[in-house]
Amino acid sequence: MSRLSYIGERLFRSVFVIFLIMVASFFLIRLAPGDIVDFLMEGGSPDPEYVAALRRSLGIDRPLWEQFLRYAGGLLSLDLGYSFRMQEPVLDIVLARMPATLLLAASVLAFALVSGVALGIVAARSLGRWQDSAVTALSLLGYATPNFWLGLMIVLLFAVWLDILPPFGMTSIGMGYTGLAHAGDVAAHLVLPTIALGTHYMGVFARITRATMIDVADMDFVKAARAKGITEAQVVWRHVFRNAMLAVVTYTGVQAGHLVSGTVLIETVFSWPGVGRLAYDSIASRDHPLLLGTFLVTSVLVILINLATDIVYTFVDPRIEVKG
Amino acid sequence: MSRGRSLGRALLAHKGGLLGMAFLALVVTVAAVYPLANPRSPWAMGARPFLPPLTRGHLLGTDMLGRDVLLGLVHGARFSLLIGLMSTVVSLTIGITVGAVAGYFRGWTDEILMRVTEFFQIIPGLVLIMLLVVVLGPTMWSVVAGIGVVTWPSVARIMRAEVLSLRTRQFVDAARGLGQRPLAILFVQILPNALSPVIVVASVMVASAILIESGLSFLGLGDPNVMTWGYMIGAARPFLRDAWLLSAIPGVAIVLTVLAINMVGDSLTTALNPRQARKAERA
Amino acid sequence: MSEGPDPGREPALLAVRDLAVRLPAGADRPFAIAGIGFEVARRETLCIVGETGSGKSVTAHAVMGLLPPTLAVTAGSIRFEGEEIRGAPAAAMRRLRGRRIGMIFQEASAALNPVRTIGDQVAEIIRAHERLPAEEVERRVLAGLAEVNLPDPRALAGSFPFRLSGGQQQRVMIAIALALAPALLIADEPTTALDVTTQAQILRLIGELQARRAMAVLFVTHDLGVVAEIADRIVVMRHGRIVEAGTADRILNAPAEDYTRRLIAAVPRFGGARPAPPARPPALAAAGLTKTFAGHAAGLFRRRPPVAALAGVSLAVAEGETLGIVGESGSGKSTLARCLMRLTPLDGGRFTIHGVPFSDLAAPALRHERHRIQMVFQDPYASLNPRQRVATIVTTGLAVQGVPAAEARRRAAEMLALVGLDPSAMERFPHEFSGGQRQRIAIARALVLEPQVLIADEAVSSLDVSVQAQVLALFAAIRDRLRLALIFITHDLLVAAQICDRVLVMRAGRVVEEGPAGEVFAAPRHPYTQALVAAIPGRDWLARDPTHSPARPRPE
Repeated sequence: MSRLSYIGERLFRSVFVIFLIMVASFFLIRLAPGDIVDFLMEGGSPDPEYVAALRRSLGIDRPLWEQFLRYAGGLLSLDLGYSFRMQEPVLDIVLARMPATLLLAASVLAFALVSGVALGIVAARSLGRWQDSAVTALSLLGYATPNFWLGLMIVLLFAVWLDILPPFGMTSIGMGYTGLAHAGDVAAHLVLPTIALGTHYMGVFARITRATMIDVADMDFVKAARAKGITEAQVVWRHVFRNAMLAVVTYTGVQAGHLVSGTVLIETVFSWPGVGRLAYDSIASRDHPLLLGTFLVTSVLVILINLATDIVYTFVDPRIEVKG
Repeated sequence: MSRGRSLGRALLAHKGGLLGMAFLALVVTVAAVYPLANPRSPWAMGARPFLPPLTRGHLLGTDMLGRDVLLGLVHGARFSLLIGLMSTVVSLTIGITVGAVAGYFRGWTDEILMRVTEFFQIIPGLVLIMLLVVVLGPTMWSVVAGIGVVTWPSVARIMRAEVLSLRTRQFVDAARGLGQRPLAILFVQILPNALSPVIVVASVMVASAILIESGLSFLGLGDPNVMTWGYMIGAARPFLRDAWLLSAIPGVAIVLTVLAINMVGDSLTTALNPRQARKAERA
Repeated sequence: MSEGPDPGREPALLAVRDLAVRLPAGADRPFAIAGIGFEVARRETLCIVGETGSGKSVTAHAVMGLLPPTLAVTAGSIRFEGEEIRGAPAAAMRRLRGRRIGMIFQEASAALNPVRTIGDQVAEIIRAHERLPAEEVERRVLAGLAEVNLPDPRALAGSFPFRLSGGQQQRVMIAIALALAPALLIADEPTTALDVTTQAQILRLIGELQARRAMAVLFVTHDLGVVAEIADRIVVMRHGRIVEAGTADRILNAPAEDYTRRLIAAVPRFGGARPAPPARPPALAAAGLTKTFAGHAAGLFRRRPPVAALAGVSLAVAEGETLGIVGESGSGKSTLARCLMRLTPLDGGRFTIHGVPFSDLAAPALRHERHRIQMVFQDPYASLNPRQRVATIVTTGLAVQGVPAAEARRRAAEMLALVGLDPSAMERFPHEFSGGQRQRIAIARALVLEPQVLIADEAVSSLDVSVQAQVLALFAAIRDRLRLALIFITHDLLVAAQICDRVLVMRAGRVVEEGPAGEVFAAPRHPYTQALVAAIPGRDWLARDPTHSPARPRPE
């Protein structure tokens, strides 16, 4: 019951944030010179009859609140508009690109979590020794390096100079791989973008893990666990690690939006055929309905990821119901 | 022992912070002084393109259009730092106000403000900035506004957490019991105690603003009249294979600057309030 | 200072000699403890007693080999069951911990891992030392939980620590510590965070188990009452060194050292009540105060049931009189203080201060009348703004009343002198003062407004006993000098007995008993008051008149 009500509350919050997204995007496009239709049609030469029909259906001459209702109504019935450049509904285009972005994001997250948490544990277990300093230095560097630049530099190193990994794209063109060979080909293409985007998060997770492990290790229940005479490895694994991971789970949800932002840059650098690259291309081709569509879809995606981490959290932390 | 002096001492005792501050001082000095000695525009295409570094008159060589790389780097430093600082000011202004109001008044005010904060925190910030820049036009101001708008939530959350915990402290109760007015309590009793974690976040925020701005410029969405490090990397990208230094040099400038700021931030953290700062890092 | 070997006793279970633990550079002294030596015999209870910073906890943790990494044992020997365990290999210490030596801590809520079930945490210690089939482990977990008198062990084993009360959590910790029948239990202030009736139950439980298991107990505490209740022998510590050691009877009734004598004299006890002051008109009169807190939000769609913190409380206190309000946590006594201060709004009832209908005043008038009633808070470390100088702290109230700055400073300086602080305190920050000095600053802040009523909410409970005695004396002195009506809120019946003329005993938002302090404590009528009085640790010892204890000459 309590878990259900907690999840219900998170669901309610997510709906509210989606509402905010509609409000924000509506007013954002109203900031542009001209009306919404001018903005959506900018740079194109659409059929004047279609423009007139669009003006009517959006109710440009109606009061603001009614315009918003129509706009929101359209979004809720999954009508994200039409891209004149691509001659396709926006939603279809964005959804077609979604798997590539999800694959990249999952790969980045897996890489960053595994390596970051491992480094964090190493650092926390060797406080004040060289391993700790090395991890701290590495995570500081990870923080400070722009991911797109790191991408360029590792392309230079691994693809241009050493020529051991493909520099861009998701598959090798014209090879026609299938089955396992295809999977291997995609995996090879994933390596560089994953490192480029994941290094930052590796640093972040290493820092969080280290900090919370140190925090938790100071707590009384860790001392009490030692007083039981269990081995040091058991103390760390059963008592310190699990509590430290709570912070990591929370942080993963919060960073999802940041991660999607990162894919815009990395997909552009690596010509990765995902939503981020789509957003960049839509700006280059002044395809405003598509740009707005990528914003709306990625925002909803991030909200869903957050919802998912909140639900995962209820299984990790039994105290959830007393938190509120 | 006064607070200020002990803080200064703690900062000096932190080697990384000292190093970071020294580097930043160098960057600021060069960015301020060098254009006086060399008043040319960074866009001037006087020399031969692709001159290698250590060429006479062009210490770091020239780019594909024959522009001096060092001059570009110096002007890039000016605008990177400027945009970083300005967007941090925007971010702090929104974040401190929202956080303090939400934490102090609680209830429905808090509920609504925190949902709005959540919204700005979880949506993909760069995509929102791209939208803003497209709608408002690519000027330095829209970039500053965009970065400010997507980075304030972490300030607001930390501020709110601080105010929430401070307002239940006994010294705040004592001030209420003395009859001090609510606004006076907020400004005299609560805010001065809430500032140290915010100072720490502010330093980190300058660093992340510089990173976001470099990404925007790299994509060609920055102010076209402003020479920035991100723009230099983006412009040199087609020549990565043959003139990789043109991409590498401005990147190193970004890494070193952001690293220096983070190191100063770390030492501030240790000096001001170690426990708080760890929390801030996670928020 | 350690005792010589006693031929009459069997060899010690634990023998500590010349133990020293170094503090990290920059601490206020080089050693946390130095030259510590004592013995614990099988089946006996040794109490280490001392005030804050005496090194008593460090000593206990050093024996267990659980010092934090910043502290290092630099000298001495710790022999347990005849074996040297100082510097023993990690594996050997592990075999000892939990199996031969158990430990319980001050905050049971913090000593239990929040994300693992109770049963899991009890089973862990069994599995760490013995290879047993799962059913046998479970059987022993349930038996262990039953032995510490926890209800429904099976259901409890599956639940998480946050569901349990503080007393239940400490019982779980005891079940864990004793799961493998250790020969020695180290208890580090295990009852300090508990209510007095819960404390009595836990002390009784430890005593019963100790007798049943023939176990020795090393008990660390600051509370001489607890010591009198349970100790066979006592070690008194101060500033990291042993002041004296001996049998409980000798230390408590014939202390040799000056410090021990002062410590014992500072313990508040019954019989301190002064003759009732002449009847005067009430300074504060309250009738039918009620306050109900809406349940905590437990998620957006759910609320916990409402809690009646005040269910119709009436009281009156005259000028120059001290009214004590006693009760355990959750009794509503602190809510009462906050409502009288108008920090928390009342739901119903009214009160007047010298005829002014204080409970009905609206904001602007309230601000002008606030000087009539002031409060001293519990925690002197939290009640002073760390960023303000003492001068600002003490003059803020006067500034609100519109007193000119120069005049306010003059009066603040006078008041600081009255509470026993040097005028130079004005320019310093709170962190430069000790706990007792800070509480004096807080008192000065309240008194500078010349209130007619002063509320002290647990104002001495976070102070060491010797400082507590001084601050209590200060309260009594200013009450008499300024003819204040003093409302003294405390969970500590002995403190109430020491300073109060009349007391109200509160429980769950109601007054269950009221009367002159001497009468209420000597012959409590309500069963709850009787239980409270019966639960006071060491009350038989405390009932003796300390002035009559034979002061023996110091041994050479």
